Amino acid sequence: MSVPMNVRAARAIMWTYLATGLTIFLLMLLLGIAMRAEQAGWITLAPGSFYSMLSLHGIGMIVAMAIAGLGTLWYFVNREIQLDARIAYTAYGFFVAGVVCVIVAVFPGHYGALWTMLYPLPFIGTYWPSWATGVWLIGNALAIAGFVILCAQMLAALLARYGGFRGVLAIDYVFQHRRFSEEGKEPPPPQMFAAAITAIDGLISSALGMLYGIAMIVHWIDPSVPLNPLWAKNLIYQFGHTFANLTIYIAVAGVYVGLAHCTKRKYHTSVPLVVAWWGTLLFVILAYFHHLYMDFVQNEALQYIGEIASYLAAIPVVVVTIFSGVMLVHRSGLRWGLGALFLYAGMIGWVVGGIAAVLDATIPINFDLHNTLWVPGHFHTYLLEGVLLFILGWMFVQLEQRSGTLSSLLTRWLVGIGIFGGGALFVLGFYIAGAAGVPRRYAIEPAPGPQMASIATIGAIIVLAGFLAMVFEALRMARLPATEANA
Amino acid sequence: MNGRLLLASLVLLATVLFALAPLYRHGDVPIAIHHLLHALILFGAALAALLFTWPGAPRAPGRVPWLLITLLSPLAAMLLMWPSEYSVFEREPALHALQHLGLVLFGFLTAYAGQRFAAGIGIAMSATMLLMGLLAAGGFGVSPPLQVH
Repeated sequence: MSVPMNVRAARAIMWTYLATGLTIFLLMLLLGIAMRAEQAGWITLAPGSFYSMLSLHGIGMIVAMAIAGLGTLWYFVNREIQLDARIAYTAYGFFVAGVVCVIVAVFPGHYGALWTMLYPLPFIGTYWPSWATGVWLIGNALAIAGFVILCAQMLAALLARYGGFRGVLAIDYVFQHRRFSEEGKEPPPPQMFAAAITAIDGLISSALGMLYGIAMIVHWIDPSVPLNPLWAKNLIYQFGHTFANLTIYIAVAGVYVGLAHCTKRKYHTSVPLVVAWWGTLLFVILAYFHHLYMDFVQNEALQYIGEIASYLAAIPVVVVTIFSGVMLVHRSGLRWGLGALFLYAGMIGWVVGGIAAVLDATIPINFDLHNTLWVPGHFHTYLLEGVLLFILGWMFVQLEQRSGTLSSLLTRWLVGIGIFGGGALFVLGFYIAGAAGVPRRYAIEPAPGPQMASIATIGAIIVLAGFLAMVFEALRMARLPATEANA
Repeated sequence: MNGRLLLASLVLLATVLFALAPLYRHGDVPIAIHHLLHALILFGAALAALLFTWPGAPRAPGRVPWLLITLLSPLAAMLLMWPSEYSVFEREPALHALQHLGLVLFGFLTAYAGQRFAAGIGIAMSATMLLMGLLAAGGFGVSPPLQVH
């Protein structure tokens, strides 16, 4: 059986994006281990190196997950309407150019003002040359451009496939449900809501990110141009928070498709699911205000909007998706291969990381947790134990389907204990230290920071071992001959 | 010429006349207000392009160059709004008018190229460009003095 050209090209794009994203992830994981080891007092880095590495680690991890997830999402959209592969490769070129610039800014540039590049920090009292700041800013702009290209392409495809925004957002399906069904129409499948919300919110937040990037580049070239620091902080956090948050919504598309495949059941679009995604569409772009609770000059009403939006962006879609996912698995006779295990465990990571996030977004609690290690605790949970697992889950569903086999029980235990068990130990260090008030973004921490960093470093090394075991297993399965039915 | 093309032409003409204002109207304008006036130029140019292309835009995603033009044009427009240029432009009306015509060009290209790529993308990209133009008034070259040195 021969595979159509379009399917082969789409698979090549998906695997290119997956391999690139996971490679960057592995490199960033090594940096992360080095930083936690320094905080634990196990090793000593040169002054300033910690902050340069933290800058690269922060942006690298988010971009790695976005690249891997976007490749998968692009593949899903391509299954609904054929996409031009050249556009995906153009976006890929922008991403790679952006990553190269960011790496150059850090090694050898020593840029160290973190991913937030909060005005005026990258320009005042720096220990790195001015060119490193410029290259960092240009690298970020290139990566945003890659993201915008994919968002525009996917949005264009969805608008064409489902008949404009009304069809993409299934408005008639919700408000004229009976007539919609009687006419024999079908709403978009669940993964297309993930694509639509990513594309729409991605375009909006990228505009703000680009405006910030241009303003910063202009200030870098012409320091006589001032920027309003509060305005700048709003822009960068709107973009940064939304982009980071979207990685989970990008990756969750793999749950809708992968879990349905594993259980041999259909993941139906329902009215609650559609309405939940509307909530995400509207509130994800407003939730970032919770990063500015301590900015006393920020308009007070925006602080309350931030709290409400933080709850409404996450909770509805998490509840509906996970309830549907559990129902899909219940009594399905599912065989627990690595694909299904990753997807299911990822939902747990999404819930735990999400609860930790909305706790921190609650104003009275934020008084204690703001800018403590609780914050990296929550985003490491949803990235490492949510987004990454969704991506790996979909990847292994593909490999298992192709080869017609599952991994051995021993491999499943090794990988599971490594990535999920090691990951749990790793994030626990953040949560306990954060609850004790240890601040984030410090190379040298007050107690119990170093003690917790030791536990976290052990956890991260276990994650590394599990990740490497997963890579070997993936390569082994990829080399198995494809079954005739799945060629 | 049908009604839609006539309306598109009138909108474009009005936008160009507004963009040429520095040639017949002088006076200092605060940077934030200047940004807002520029956003208005971008809006007019994009609206004209949308009217020109409506409703003949292709439904399925099109070619890469159109996508790159609709992506890069708003960025070029924002660079044209470089705040420290404004004091120079206030003294040179012809240069100022030329800058405004550049904004007309990039505003038009954003919408036109977007619609040529696929129906709806010109609208989406124009909306995000307008958002950038309006938000620029909040802090691009506008700030209370910094307290750190």
